[in-house]
Amino acid sequence: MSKDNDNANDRARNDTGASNDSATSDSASGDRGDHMSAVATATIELADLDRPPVPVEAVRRLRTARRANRVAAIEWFELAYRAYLSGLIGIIAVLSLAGAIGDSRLPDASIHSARQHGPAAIGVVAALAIALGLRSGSRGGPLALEPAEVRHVLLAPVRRRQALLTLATRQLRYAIFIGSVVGAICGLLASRRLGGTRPAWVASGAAAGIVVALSFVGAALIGSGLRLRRLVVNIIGAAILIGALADLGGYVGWWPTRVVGDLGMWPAKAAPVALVTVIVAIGVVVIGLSLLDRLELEAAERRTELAGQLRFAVTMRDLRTAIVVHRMLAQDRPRPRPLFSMPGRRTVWKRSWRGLARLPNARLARMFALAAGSGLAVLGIYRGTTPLAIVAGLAMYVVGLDLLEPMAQEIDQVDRAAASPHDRGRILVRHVAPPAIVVVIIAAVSWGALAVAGAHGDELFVGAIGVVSIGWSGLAGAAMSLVSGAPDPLGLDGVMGANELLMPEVAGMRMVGRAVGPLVVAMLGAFPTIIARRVAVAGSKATDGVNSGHPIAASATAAAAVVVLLSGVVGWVRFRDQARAYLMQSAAAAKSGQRDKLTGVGR
Amino acid sequence: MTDEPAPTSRHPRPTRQRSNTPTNTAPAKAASNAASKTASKAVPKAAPKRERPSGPPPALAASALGKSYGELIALAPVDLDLAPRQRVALIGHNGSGKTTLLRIASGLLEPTEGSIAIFGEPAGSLPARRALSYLSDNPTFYDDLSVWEHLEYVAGLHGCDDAWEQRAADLLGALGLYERADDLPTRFSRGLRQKASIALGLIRPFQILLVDEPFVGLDAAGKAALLELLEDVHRAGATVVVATHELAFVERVDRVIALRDGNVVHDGSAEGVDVLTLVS
Repeated sequence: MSKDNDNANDRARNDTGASNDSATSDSASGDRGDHMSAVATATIELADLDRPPVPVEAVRRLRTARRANRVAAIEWFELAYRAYLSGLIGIIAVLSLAGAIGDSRLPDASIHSARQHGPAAIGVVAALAIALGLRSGSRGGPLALEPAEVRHVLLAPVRRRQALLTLATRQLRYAIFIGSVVGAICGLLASRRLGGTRPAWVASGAAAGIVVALSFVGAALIGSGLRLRRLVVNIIGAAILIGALADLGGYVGWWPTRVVGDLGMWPAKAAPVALVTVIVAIGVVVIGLSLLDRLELEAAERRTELAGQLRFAVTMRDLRTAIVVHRMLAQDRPRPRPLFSMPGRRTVWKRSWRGLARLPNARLARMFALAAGSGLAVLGIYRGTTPLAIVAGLAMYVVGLDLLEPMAQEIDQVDRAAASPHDRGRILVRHVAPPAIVVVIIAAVSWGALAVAGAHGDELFVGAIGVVSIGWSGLAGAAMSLVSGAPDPLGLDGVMGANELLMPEVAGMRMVGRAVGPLVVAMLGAFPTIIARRVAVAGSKATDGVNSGHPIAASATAAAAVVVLLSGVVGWVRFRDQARAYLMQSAAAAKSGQRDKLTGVGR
Repeated sequence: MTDEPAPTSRHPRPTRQRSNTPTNTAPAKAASNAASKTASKAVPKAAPKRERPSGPPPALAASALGKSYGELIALAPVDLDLAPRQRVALIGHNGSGKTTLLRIASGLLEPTEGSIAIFGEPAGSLPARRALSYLSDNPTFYDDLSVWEHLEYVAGLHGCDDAWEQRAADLLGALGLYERADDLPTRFSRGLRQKASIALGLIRPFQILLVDEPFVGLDAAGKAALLELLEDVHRAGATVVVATHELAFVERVDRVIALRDGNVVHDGSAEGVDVLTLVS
């Protein structure tokens, strides 16, 4: 300890002694006539600043006891049911994946291509894990502590590294488990297509999966320990990811993350250098663990409060809450000064534009990036990769969620809507208009990306229609999702009435419908591009000289059909509340009639 | 949760049940005024930069301490020295920087500029954590621990000896929480949570106590009990810093520090201080 500290301790000792003396004399003399003086002496204990750190045993004992309590409170039947469901879903996922990938051995040329590009592709996954890990670390991750843990344990005189080590190793174990399982499954699937012995593929896949998992946790621990700022983390993450993508595209000869891929592709081509990645990954984790005591409490506390809410929202598939909590976690706040001011006297219209004018830079950048991705996906669809409709639709769905923030805020303010003399639907539908205009501007970015990527001729025109169409459908899907609100697992908000629970199968179907429906609507916008592609292919194959139509015209017609469908969604937003009220009244009337019939009332 | 008192027979009984009615505080006030007169001589009025006196380090020393969030300045650079055993009231309007200052001192927040030390040790360091007890305005508890289990845990975390049980019983008795010792504090009302938090903050050994808005949510009896406890803490020899507008406490302190928009606008004796003007 420093000299200053020694002085502090001396002072503290002196103070302690003095104070104890004084307190004792207070209590002994009873001069004050205060009947609590005896308690005063006993209740307050002054700290001895010379004492060594408190052993972390108390923390360990508490965690052990709490774990025992939790185990005792487990409902084993429910746990078995959950395990059964997880297993079932896992098997279905693996079988679906196996079906999609196929079972037969690939032709030699394809195997050669896989050997050549596989390591770089796996390297992209590793790069993504590192980038995400760093991002998590900059936000106080990867540990998600309880709020009370921050206040009581991390502010106590125990060594923080020791107190946090148990939690960190638990998280590592979990990450290693997930990484090995996912890697092993990928190895198993690869063994069928690429040849080679199955155990070798499974082992190398699991090893690569573990390295990726360790990279994620290690990067997060280092990001948190070094207290890297978000900007720095984003730059480093983007650089690693761009390098890995450039390696995959053949723009650079080699990139470090490729070595993780070499480990995963070991059975195809043994590369002893790949073993270095295991050592590096372990080293990264060890460094991260050594920095545990540098955890920033401010970020950790913010994370503790929000991580639980986010997890719960995701479990409940409550998209809006998940978005709001995620924004809070990322400190993604509206800009203090609006980008522009919107004149006008229409209340909702003006309020909506005001919300849009306060979109923060990070969200704007993400929207433009997603729009660019969506544009490239539209080009991909037109060139024959139909599944890219999912990518395009999802990207614009996320953009739609950001653009509909003013409407979402309106939905959040339940009391305000209830106090308004206007129908909620009437207000909500007016919130859709400004985003529908802005999405056209954003679609221009999509179109620009598509043009930069080398689109030409018809592709440019079909693309223009396609990006606007997918933009509007993404917006409609987002509106549908927001207006639906969080799925209700008990079906209490349905037309069955609050006293009646739905059968599990029906409730489950409803929940799936509510979750998937908006995404399907969001993907509808890809329909014009798919139709245009079909027409273009049919035109190029026509040998009788009869053209089946022009792709641009076909695309425009299909887009008109999509707009009609989307206007149905707008109508649903407008009249949903009334329709629900009508259905609930009808259900209640039918039930009342049935009861009367059973009890003989009215005979 | 049931409203009936929980069985507490396995815990020691309080040494003597504290009366929750306001007690005669005249002697204490007289002592406090005497102390404040002494303190007011020692503590100069707010000055941007001060020569730090040589000798033992102060209980809390902030040097050009500032905190900002982007363009928003939560705490402008502040210089403060609090002597050991001083009683300080931190006042200021909402958003003036009181909580920020206390959270930085506790180690929960890190300053964007300047430094802060607790008995000469950087805030948040292990010795500083041993010396400082921070009572937040937003108490947090474990979901699955009762008040008594919380006290046991906190006592364990701070290396308390077996005497903690009697002290815990006394504290709970003083706060009127003894009968609720086996209840979960997460299910308590605002006021009871505040009382449980106070018990947690005082069960552990400390040299300096920082308390943020402790009187909010407390009933009259609770306020009286807390005032007495803070008096006890002071008598025991600890430094006490309380962010509050509670005049009953402000009247007793040695020193009043007023913040406005992150700046110290008053630093001196409590005598003649117009709290209402300073917080408006």
